[in-house]
Amino acid sequence: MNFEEALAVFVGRRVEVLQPNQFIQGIEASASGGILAVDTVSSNYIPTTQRVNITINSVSLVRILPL
Amino acid sequence: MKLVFMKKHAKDFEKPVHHKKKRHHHNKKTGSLQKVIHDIKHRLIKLKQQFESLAGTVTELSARVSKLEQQVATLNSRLGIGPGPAPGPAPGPAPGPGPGPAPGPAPGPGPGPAPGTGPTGIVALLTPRINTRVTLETPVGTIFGTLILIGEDYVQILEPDGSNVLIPFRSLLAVS
Repeated sequence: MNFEEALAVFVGRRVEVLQPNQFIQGIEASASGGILAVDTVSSNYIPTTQRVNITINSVSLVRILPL
Repeated sequence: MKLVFMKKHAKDFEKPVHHKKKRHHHNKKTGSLQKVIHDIKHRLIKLKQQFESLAGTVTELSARVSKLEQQVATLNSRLGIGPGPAPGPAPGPAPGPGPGPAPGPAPGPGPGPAPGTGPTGIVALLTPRINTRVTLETPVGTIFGTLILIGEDYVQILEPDGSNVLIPFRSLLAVS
């Protein structure tokens, strides 16, 4: 099982994606084709969901938060 | 002893007057003993039921354990550890990394170790440390936790707070 396949197991979980110059937190939407999709929620008064597509090769590590 | 005239019994004139209806104490004792026996029986039945449910749980857990063992054996064989098929790296005559997809069971990009050798590098370093506490240095910080899985190109750490961290090999700077 490679990194991408392992990430695909945690779809639907809250994750933290750490990149060298960025930190993204949200709910994992999908992990396939070299892309990790995370639905982030804005922290202002109007909660809007934004989907961020991250290339898996640029990910330093992914933390899957406990339920 | 008290003498009691039993007026109810018309025919008691033949009986001695000192006979009186007494409460038989041994009936009370028998009643309480029966209660104790009934209690014990009830408890035994309860214990039997608990034992049966536990037996079912044990069976289920045993099945899960054997499943996990199979998964571990599969992973180990994929990594080339222990009994199993030969390790991944190309057994063909062409050594070194090959650009583009190679025919056959090519494991992907990366340095090509000599064929016939076991796992090398990070896998060999980390494999003995499975289920132990490790500290991994990465470009984004230090990760501390229990190493629970080594994949093809990543490791999985269980942090003390219950979070799972997936770290690709390319992000590993140091292991301690």
